[in-house]
Amino acid sequence: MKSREHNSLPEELLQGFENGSSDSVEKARRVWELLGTTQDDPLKVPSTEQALQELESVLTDQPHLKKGRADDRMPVRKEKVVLLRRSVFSFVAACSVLLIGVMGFLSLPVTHSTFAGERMAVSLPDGSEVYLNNESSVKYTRGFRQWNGFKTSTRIVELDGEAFLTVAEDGRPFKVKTFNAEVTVLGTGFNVRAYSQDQDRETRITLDHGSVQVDIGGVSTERAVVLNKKGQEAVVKNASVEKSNIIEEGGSLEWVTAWRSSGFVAMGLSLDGVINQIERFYDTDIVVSDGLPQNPTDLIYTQNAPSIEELLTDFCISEGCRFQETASGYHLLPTE
Amino acid sequence: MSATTNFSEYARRIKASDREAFADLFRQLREPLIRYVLHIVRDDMIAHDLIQDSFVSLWKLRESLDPGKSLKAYMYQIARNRAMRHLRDERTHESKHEIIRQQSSKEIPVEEWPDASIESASLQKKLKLWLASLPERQREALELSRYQGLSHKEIADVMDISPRTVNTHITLAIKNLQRNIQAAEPALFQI
Repeated sequence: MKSREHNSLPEELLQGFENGSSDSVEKARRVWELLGTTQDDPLKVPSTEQALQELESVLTDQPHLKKGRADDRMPVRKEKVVLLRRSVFSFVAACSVLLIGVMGFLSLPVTHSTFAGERMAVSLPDGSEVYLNNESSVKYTRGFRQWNGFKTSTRIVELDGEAFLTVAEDGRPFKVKTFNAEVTVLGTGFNVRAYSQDQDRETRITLDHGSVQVDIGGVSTERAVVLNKKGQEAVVKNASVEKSNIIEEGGSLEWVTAWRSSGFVAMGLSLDGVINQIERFYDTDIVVSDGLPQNPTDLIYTQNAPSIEELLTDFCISEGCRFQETASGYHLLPTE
Repeated sequence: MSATTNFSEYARRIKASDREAFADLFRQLREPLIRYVLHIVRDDMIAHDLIQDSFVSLWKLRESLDPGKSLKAYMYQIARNRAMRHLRDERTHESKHEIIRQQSSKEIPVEEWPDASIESASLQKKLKLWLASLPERQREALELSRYQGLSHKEIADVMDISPRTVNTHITLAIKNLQRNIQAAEPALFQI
């Protein structure tokens, strides 16, 4: 069925007739109306519901395997009884294998990861959004459901690396687990940074809106910390949680999440941390010679980070170093 | 504009893997999409297959959907690309002979509409013939606007041309039709 509701000439079209008289607009209106009176020829295609079913089956199952096996069995039907018994047995066996397989598949966690130099948006089954920074991964149970199809009582997402999360409200608590911390949420947006391979070994949670509770991973919630103001941060390090002051809105908060708009910000990091971040962002290798300051100044590009060479030039101007290109990346040396 | 808010709502829900929203969208857009690609491929079943494929790829690409962009235009775009690709593949696979034979049989036979028979046909039938005889791009733009209810911006995205060109195509199409109608039924335009 054609949609007939657009019965008046679109506004945008009027420009096309404006140079003409109002008479020509009137005529165009008439043509437009007349066009609405034509009838569609019937389509010789399956009905919409049929087509939808077909589509659903294409999207849901892949096992054409089962069908193929049944066909193979067809010609060998001479020793009826034995074969029948055997086939019933193997049918039951196949079914249970399939069932276990399906259950196994359903209970497998889903993992999304990014490589260095790559970022990715992931939609979770509850409508929450995870935006992953470089070299990061999230893991969650398929559909936030148990093997038996029931919803899990808590939505748990495991994170290694950095992500910005926007959590949809669905009545169940939402948890982000990192290697050393647990963040519990109800409808909120926040940034988690937890690169377990970095030297500082910390999880840093920065709140944008809503509220989160931060616990040390694996132990009681006694020392939990609640963030409920925009820009508040919590840092989990060496099995303790610390709440820092609210970082200034528009300033530091924007910097923490700058990676979401392709920016590059390395703030309050050790030399090692800055180098790791550059390597992750540009997917490169950087070798650092002794003699560079251990606590470099912050690097802040809130949007669209520059090329790596520009960035290293900036870095070296402030830190007093020079860089050389190597086969796999760059070599940073102190200036003599 | 409840229709457009609906579509961005669909985009958001489909992005979150909502199968119900996907089914609703399918029910709403399937037939219009089939009719749209039918003009390109000229075979009902091929059109049907192309639209099935289009929805499969929508589902596969769901995570990259941008709810801020028109989902409707996006679907028309997928469908159009597939239809064009189909046509291209068909052309490379068939011998030239085949193409000539097929095209002449698929296109509206010219002998069927000499003036005499067009006189007797209803105005609606004539309109369809005139529509079919418009230059391809004019017809496509008009069709998307009039029958598929797409905005000029959406049509521009689908046809990969500027909104200005869309406007030109539709304006010319209407002027062409108006000339035809006026010649056949002058009474309709007496104001």
